[in-house]
Amino acid sequence: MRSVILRRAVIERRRWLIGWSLGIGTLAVSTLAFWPSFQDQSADMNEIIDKMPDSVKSLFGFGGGVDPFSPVGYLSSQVYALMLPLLLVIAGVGSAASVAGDEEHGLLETTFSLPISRRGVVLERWLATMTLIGVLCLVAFIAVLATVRIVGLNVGTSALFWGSVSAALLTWSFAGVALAAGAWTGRRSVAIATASVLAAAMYVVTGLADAGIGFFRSLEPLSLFTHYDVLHSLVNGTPPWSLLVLVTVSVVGPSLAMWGIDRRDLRAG
Amino acid sequence: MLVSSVIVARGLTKRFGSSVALDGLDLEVGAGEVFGFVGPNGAGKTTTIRLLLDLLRPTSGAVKVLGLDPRRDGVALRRRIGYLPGDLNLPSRLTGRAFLADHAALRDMSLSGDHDTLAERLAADLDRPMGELSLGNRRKIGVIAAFVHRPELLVLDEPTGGLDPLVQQQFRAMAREVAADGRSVFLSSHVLDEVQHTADRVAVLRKGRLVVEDSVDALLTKLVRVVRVSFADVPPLEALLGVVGVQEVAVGSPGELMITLEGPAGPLLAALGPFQPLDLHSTEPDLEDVFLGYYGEDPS
Repeated sequence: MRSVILRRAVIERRRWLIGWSLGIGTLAVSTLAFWPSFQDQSADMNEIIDKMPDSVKSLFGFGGGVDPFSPVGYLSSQVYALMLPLLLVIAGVGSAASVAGDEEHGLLETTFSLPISRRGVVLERWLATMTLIGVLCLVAFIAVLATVRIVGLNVGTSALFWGSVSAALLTWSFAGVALAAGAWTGRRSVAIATASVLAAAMYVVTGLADAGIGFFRSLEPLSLFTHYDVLHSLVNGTPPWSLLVLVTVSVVGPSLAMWGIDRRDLRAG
Repeated sequence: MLVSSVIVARGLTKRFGSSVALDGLDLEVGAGEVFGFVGPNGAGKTTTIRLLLDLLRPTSGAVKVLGLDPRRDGVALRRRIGYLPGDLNLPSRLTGRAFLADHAALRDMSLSGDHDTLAERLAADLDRPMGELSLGNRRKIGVIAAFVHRPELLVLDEPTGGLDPLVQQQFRAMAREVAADGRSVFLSSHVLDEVQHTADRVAVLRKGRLVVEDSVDALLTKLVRVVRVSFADVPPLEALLGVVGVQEVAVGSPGELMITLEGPAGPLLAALGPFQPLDLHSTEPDLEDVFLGYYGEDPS
């Protein structure tokens, strides 16, 4: 495999990668740096959080019966439950949707006239997205690991590792949805909208299901955020079933994309 | 069927919803010829080209390119084709050299002296980001990408748009060299002059249908254009009306005649000589007027 398109897609996004790495690294460091002062005020803060409805607590990552000011609870609620996956999903969906964006702008016209199959082009662009998101998750892992050690937040390396693996799988899943929607329609806006709406809906479903709302509990297994069970991941490692679901969705999305791109007319620029 | 056809289309039809972009096109392009594919904007030229490259899928009909099915044998086929899109969009941050290196790698080649030779010939700048280049200079890079691997078939859509006249000349010479080498060029254009100076045979497309297909020489004899001639003393109109090819003579601005001429200009020039014309200007015939007018089509 020549990987010309994969290599070019990664090189083209090197500034993007630096920017996102700085953003995610800054988020991790600046959030976790407040751990000592939060720890001091944990009693007051716990009182405030206790007064929140369960559904609101769940949506902000304070659910699951874990003390939000325990090291794992703090790390989960402040980084892994919302902010990190939110940033990663935005980056991943944007990267995956750029394939449709390039098609819309006519940038793929010459590529598709070269001796490479449409599926090959989509596959290499997908591998580029996986690589970029993988690097961002690695940056997040290193930044969190360094900061928790500096501020004395007592969380094990393997917990952080599994948290980052889960975040990567969750992001690849939604990026795969964006890739597929873009490959079937050739429209960047549809790719972004499909993945974003799905991600937002799943986030709400899991949050409200955690709060014990019956209707949402029945939908809970369908939500990728349910399988991105970060508290469980941080405490016990990611459960095999959840890993399997996330890996499967991460494979199904790009597979659908390769099927879709082969079945339609390509858009002119 | 031609002895050796590089493109054979039979009943090729493409619809986009209720709109018919191409309607039952039958076409053959022979090996070693430069084939001009002309017609006004929206005639279906680009649609045809995109069907040849499997960028679009036909609604009905069939096409073979270099003996291969563009869909089933797409990768093998595109290895043997060079393509220059009409609407060429290039990554703005990439230099021409990096762009060409990627194309070469995808063709299992590497950048070679041939790239530099062509760049020199076209005066192309390969070392600046393509976003900083003018339209014409970006187009030169597209021309290099299409020609450099010496494809058996070049598919060129409005190739000289934005190129200056000197580079257009170079381009025409390059296209003729391809044909002299036994390879083929499929040249789509709405510029008559470009096709006239490059192609051996021409097909005229209008509203998705083939209107006429003939050799350039044969079509040139049928061209209708208006020749404006100015005189110190305007000759009587009757003196020119009987000249071979002259269809109509009218008085234009003072001291000027507007002569509608079909076919070669020789007899008219001979007839004008004794009246000592001061100036002569032949308008570039509009394809739609010339071809469709000649073939009795409604140009609306």
